[in-house]
Amino acid sequence: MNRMFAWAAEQIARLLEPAEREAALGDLAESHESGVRASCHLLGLVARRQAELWKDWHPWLALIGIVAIVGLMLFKYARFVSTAAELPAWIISNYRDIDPSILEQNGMTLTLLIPKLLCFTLLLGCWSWTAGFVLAKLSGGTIWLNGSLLLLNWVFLSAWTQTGSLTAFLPLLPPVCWGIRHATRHEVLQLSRAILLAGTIVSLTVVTIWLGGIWRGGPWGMWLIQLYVLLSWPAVYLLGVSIRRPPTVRR
Amino acid sequence: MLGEFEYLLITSAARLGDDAYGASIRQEIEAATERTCSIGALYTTLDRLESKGLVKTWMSDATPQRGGRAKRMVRVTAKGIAAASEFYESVMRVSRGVSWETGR
Repeated sequence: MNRMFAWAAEQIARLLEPAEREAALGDLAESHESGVRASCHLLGLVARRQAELWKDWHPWLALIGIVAIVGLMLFKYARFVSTAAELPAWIISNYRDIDPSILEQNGMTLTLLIPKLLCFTLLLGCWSWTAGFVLAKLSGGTIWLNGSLLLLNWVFLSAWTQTGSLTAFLPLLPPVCWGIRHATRHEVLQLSRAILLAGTIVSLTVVTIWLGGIWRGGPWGMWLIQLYVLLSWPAVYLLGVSIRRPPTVRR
Repeated sequence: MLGEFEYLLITSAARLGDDAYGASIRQEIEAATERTCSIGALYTTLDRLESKGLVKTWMSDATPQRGGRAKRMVRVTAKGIAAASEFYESVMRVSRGVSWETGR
C-alpha cells in the first residue's frame, strides 16, 4: 500500500515546477515520510501553487471566456452540425429507395448538401482548435483544471440537453486537444499562421452564412450570427497576441 | 512587519547557517513548535520572503541521502536579519510584564 502512495506522490509532484519537485521530493525522502503523508504534503503544495496562479486575470478569462461561453457555443454548434449531417446520411443510406427528382426539386442533392456540411465541419474544427490554443495560452499552469472543467462542461451539457448520448461532444475533442498541444509547444503562433487561421475562419463563416441561408435573418439566423460572433473571439485574441508579440528568433 | 511563520523560518535558517535548506529548516521549526510543518507552507513562505529580499535561495547538488535529488538552500540576507530583529523586539516589548513572561 505504501508503494502505491509513494507512486501517487511522484505523480502529484509532476504538477510542480521541476526544481521545486526535486527539492520537495528530496526533503520528503530525507525525512522518511510515509507515502500517505508525502502525498498529503505534496497535494497541499500543489494546491497552494495553483491558488497563486489564480491571482492573475488570465486563468479567469480562460475559465469564463473559453470554458463557460465558448465551450457552450461549441457544443451548440456541434449539435447543429450533427443535425445538418443527418439528412445527407439518410439520403446515402436510402439512396436506392428515393426518387432523385424529388431531391433535386427541393435542393437536397448530395452535391449541395455535402459541401455545405464540409464547410460547417471545417469551421467547427477551426473554432475548436483556436479555442484549445487560446485556453492553453491563457490558462498557463491551470490548464489541467480549466481543461478538466471544459470536459465536465460538455459532459454536463450532453446529459442536460438529452442528446441521447453522453458523448455528443466527442468530435470536439481532437481539434481542441491538438490546439492545446500546439500551444504548450510554441510560445506564440507565427503571425502568418495566425492571419491564415483568421482568414480561414472569416471565409468559412461567410460561406456558411450564405450556404445556410442565415443571411435571411429571422430568430434562427440571429441566434446563429450571435453564436458565430461569440465563437470568433479566441481567433481575434490569438491574432492580436501574434501581432503584439512575434515569436522570438532562435539562434 | 514579519508574520509569525515567516519569523520562525528566518530564525531557523539563521541558526542553521550554511546547513539551511528545506528539510533542515522544517525539522527546526517542528522541534521548536512541536507541530507538523507542511512543505506547502514552507516553500510558499520561502518564495514570499525571497520576493521581499529577506532570504536568498538556490538549488544545490544532489545527494544520495535524498534519493539523488537536489536541495533548495537558504541564506538570510541582512534585510532579513533586520526584519527578524524588529519582530523579536516588538514581541519582547509587548510581552513585558504579562503573566507568562514573569512566570506568575
